[in-house]
Amino acid sequence: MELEFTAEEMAFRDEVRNFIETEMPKDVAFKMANDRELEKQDFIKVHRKLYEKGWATAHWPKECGGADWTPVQRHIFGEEMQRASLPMPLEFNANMVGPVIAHFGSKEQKEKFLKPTASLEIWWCQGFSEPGAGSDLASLKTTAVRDGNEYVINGQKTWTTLGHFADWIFCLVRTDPNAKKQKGISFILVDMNTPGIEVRPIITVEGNHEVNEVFFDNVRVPAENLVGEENRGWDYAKFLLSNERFGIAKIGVAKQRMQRIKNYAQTPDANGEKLWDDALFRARFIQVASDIKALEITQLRILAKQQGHDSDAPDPLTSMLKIKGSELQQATTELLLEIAGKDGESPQIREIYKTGNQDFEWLDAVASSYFNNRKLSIYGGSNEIQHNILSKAIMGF
Amino acid sequence: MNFDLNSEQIQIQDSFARFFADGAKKHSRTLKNSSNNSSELCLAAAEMGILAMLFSEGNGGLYSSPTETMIAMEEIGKSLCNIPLTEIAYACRILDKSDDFVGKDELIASIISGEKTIAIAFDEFNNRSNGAIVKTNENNGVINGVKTNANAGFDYFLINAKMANGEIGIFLIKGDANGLHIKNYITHDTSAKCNLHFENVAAVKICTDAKIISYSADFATIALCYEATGMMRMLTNLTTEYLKTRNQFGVPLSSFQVLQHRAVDMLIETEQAFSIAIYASLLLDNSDVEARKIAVSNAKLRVNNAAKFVSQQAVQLHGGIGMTDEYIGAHYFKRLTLFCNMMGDNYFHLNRLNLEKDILEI
Ligand SMILES: Cc1cc2nc3c(=O)[nH]c(=O)nc-3n(C[C@H](O)[C@H](O)[C@H](O)COP(=O)(O)OP(=O)(O)OC[C@H]3O[C@@H](n4cnc5c(N)ncnc54)[C@H](O)[C@@H]3O)c2cc1C
Repeated sequence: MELEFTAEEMAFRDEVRNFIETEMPKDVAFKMANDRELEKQDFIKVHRKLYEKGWATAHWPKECGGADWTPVQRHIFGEEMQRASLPMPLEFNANMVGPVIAHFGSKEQKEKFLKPTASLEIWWCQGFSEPGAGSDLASLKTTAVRDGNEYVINGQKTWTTLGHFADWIFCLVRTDPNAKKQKGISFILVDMNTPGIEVRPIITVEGNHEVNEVFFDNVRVPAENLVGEENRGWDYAKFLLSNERFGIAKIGVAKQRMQRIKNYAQTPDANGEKLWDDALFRARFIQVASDIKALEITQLRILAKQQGHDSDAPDPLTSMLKIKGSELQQATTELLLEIAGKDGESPQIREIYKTGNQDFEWLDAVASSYFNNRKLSIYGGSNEIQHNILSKAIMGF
Repeated sequence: MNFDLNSEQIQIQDSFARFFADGAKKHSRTLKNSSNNSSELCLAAAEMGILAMLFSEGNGGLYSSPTETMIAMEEIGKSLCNIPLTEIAYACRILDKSDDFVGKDELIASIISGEKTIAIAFDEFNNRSNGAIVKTNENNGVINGVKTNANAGFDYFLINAKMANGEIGIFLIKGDANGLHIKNYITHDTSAKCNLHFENVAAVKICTDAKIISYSADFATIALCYEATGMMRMLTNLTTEYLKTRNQFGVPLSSFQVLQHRAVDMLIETEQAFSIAIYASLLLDNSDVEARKIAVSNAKLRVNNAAKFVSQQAVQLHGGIGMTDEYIGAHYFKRLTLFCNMMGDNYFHLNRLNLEKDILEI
């Protein structure tokens, strides 16, 4: 048994760290570090820099514009990005549709899409969920009917994250209404500018516009945009979802937030007292910190197992990462909320206090981020669904 | 032993329920502008007798026990009515027991009638723990300092300030006093709040008795707990209904045992919260002050924990819908979240209990 990374892996980490330090936009990191909403340009700035370096999609196969990164390299890269409060390369592109096209797409699709997907010239969004098909995704109703060289799409997608920024959407659609649930689904790529598509905002609990409804009214899509085989879409979706699950743990984000929590808790209040000196608070803090450490090692154990195995089969253990990772991130937003106390009640707090000499920058998004982060245990396969997966796959129930 | 409301109280409950849920509909926290015309809302509440219940007979009021106020608070919680009755009650209970001062009777009469509004403004920046930080000071009847999180648009405030002798006094301030600068803002639960900046503001000292202040704080804390239990009851009901009507995998969500049990846990938390709130409310007027303090801190702790669990699980069990601002449950979630930091967070109450030597005599 060996806890340390290899010398090459350490050298790789230093290289990543150094690149981030010298090349990454500080303003984006500042926003992320204060849990503020990012703008479209913020994502693009970071993603493009990484693309130029060859790191935006380095975990893709070499022949598809990747660098064949090992799972450990991918992990190190993620940790360093999160440690520096930077957004990962756009997940819809880098971890979702890109690998699907790389694995299952036609030669033409690879030529047309892989490069702009890697470079974020095309911004993708994910059109899976529907009002009636959430956890039970396979019950989706949006249809695509073949008409000559085109498919005609009708129906509705929902919860489409950053769909209002997107150029293209990858959708699961029903192509065989008579087949059993999972069997009649296909995976299709749709230009958001196609006539018949309408995007409507959904405002989430904290008041931000992050998700959308997407309506399809006789949207005509070239048949060549279908990925892989017709009615095999469910297999591709499963491949994609296991990738998605892996990214959700984001232990680096939790660690970074713990660092901030410690800093704020150690800042004296107006009476010169520190929350850090309250043993009750420190006990809570330490409980969360030790849980994060344990999850980090769990993640490394899963990684070590994957290293050297070139298998695309989803590892059910990633469900564990998703459950604990989301819970721990949520726990860190709770701790922050406790430190902010009543000063974090208003989303306008920074404007109100801007004349003061204290550090108010972190306050206004504390409650928003607590509210917003409840999504972590709902999306990407809810935590209850992850429990179901583990029940079957590991426990054999 | 009897935990039932008497027939008169049941009548009050019915009329309050109707008033907050229907009469005050446009003040529901689900609406962005629910804090508009708050003085109109206070007037209507006064006409229901809700403010009279906060003053004793000697002061022209109808106070008989905390229960009547608690009934109102629970209905405020259920209806999400945007009225800061906790902060109002806090001020009124102090005023009821305060020293005499010129114009006291007239002031109380105008509050009972709803003609004038009053609330406390005790918070200061960094004031996590319910009154530990008081940098605002009084010297020769003149106030300087900053109060945060006060209720915007009120005619009068009671503030606490450090006096020249180092002790805390309670002062009456007019909302439009000379030297008082006000900055308004809206909080996540759509409360209209403001910060009060005092620059040599003249004020009337009305109370220096720490016992009265701490009694009134405890009264307000339990009032707030009742609002939370009302919210939790509604959230639990909403979630139960949702599980019965939402289908996934061809069956209602309520057929999944893990969700049934989660909903049951929400119920248990809510009932536990309600029990401890009742218990503390019955000790508010008790002469045993230590027993009261222990009960109140126990209550706020329990209700805080319940509020967190119930509101988080309500969102979780609704799935994506629970995350939307349009959904009523999201507003209970936000209010219950801010609730945990109001009138003392867990750290404050845990520490207060820790200091009470009889805490283990359950
Ligand atoms: C902020 C946000 C962003 C999102 N972004 C996207 C996106 O970009 N693209 C996209 O396609 N989708 C997206 N989603 C949708 C997300 O994947 C779904 O919300 C999720 O699958 C849950 O579905 P649902 O909301 O319909 O809840 P439901 O499936 O109705 O679930 C409600 C509750 O029931 C539980 N439940 C359901 N079935 C079971 C079961 N069998 N056993 C036990 N418990 C069960 C769930 O865990 C949950 O607690 C997003 C969601 C959110 C909140």
